[in-house]
Amino acid sequence: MDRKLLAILVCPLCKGPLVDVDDELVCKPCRLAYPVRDEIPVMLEQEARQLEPEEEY
Amino acid sequence: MKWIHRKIEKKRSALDNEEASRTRRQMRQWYQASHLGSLLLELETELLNDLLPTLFGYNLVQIGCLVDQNLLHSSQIPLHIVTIADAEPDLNTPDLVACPGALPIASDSVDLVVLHHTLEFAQDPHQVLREVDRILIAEGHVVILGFNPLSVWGLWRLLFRRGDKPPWCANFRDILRIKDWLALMGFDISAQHYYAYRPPIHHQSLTKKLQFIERLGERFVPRLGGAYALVAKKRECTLTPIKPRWWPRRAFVSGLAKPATGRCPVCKQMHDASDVGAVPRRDWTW
Repeated sequence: MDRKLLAILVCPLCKGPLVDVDDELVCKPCRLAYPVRDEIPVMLEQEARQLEPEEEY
Repeated sequence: MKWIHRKIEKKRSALDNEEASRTRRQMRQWYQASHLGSLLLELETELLNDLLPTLFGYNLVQIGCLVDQNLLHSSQIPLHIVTIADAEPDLNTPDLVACPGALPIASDSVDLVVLHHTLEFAQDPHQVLREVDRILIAEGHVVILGFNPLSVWGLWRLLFRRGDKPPWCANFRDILRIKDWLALMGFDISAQHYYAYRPPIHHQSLTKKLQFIERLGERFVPRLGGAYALVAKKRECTLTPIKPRWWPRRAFVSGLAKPATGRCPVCKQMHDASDVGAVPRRDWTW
C-alpha cells in the first residue's frame, strides 16, 4: 500500500489515527479493524472486523 | 399535501444502499457500452484536461469513479487517490473503498477534490459536501461535474423518462443549487463550464452530424449545456489577534487640542474613548 496514502488515512467514524497491523488498519478508540484487500484499504464500517476484548495494539 | 410527502419519502427510501450501488453499476456500463456515454466521457476528459493542469497541490482525491479510464492523468499533482463506494470493486484502478459521506481521509490534507457525478447518486449530498469541506485545505479546490436539468438533456429526461435507465436515473441538480450549497460552506466559485449541448440521441452518425451544435450552444446559449463543471475554492477566515495596549497612545502632532476623553479630570489617568462609560457622568461636569 502506498505510504503517502497511509499517511493521510484516518478512521471514517472517529477520524482518529490508524495502526497498520498485518493487512488490517486498526482504529483503537472504535475497536474496529478495516481490511486491506489486494493493497486496497476497504474503509467501510460494515466490512470492518470488531476487535476482541483481549486484542490490544 | 400528503401525497407529496409520501412521494418524497418513497423517493428517499428508494435510494438506499443497494439501489445506489446498482445505479452506479448501471452508470458504469452506460459509460462503457453506450455511444452517448462514450461521447459524454470524451467531452468530460477534454474539459478536465483543460481544467486540472491549472490546479496545483500535493494530494488529489477523486470521490466516486464511474469510468475505467483515468480522468486525472493531466493533473500535475503527485498523489492521486480514487475512491469508490462499493465493497466489491469491479473497476481496475481504485485506491480506496470508502463511503462518500464518511471519508477516511484526514482533515485539511487534500488540495483538490474531483466529484465525477457523485452528488447525483449520493444518498446525502449535503454530507458529501461537508466531508469535502473537511478534507480540503484552505484555498483548496473542488471540481464538481453534474448533469444540468435546464437543458436539452433535462427536457429529454422529463419527456422520455424511461424508468431507472442511466443516465436518467440520476438526480439532476441545478447548478444554482450546488452554488448555493457551496456558498453556505464558504466556498468561492472560481469557474463554471457547460458542455454536451447536443440532444442525447443514440444514433451515432446523427450525433456526429450534430457536432456543430456544440459550438453554437457555447456561443449563443452557454447555460443550456447538458452537463456542467464547477470549480470552487475553499475560503477560510483566520482570526486577527488584537494585542493589548501596554502604554497610552501618544499624540504625534503637538499644538492640537486633546480630545475630551484624553485625561480624566478625576483620577488624572489616561482613558480610552471606550472607557468613558466606566466613569460616572457627574465627575465629568467638573
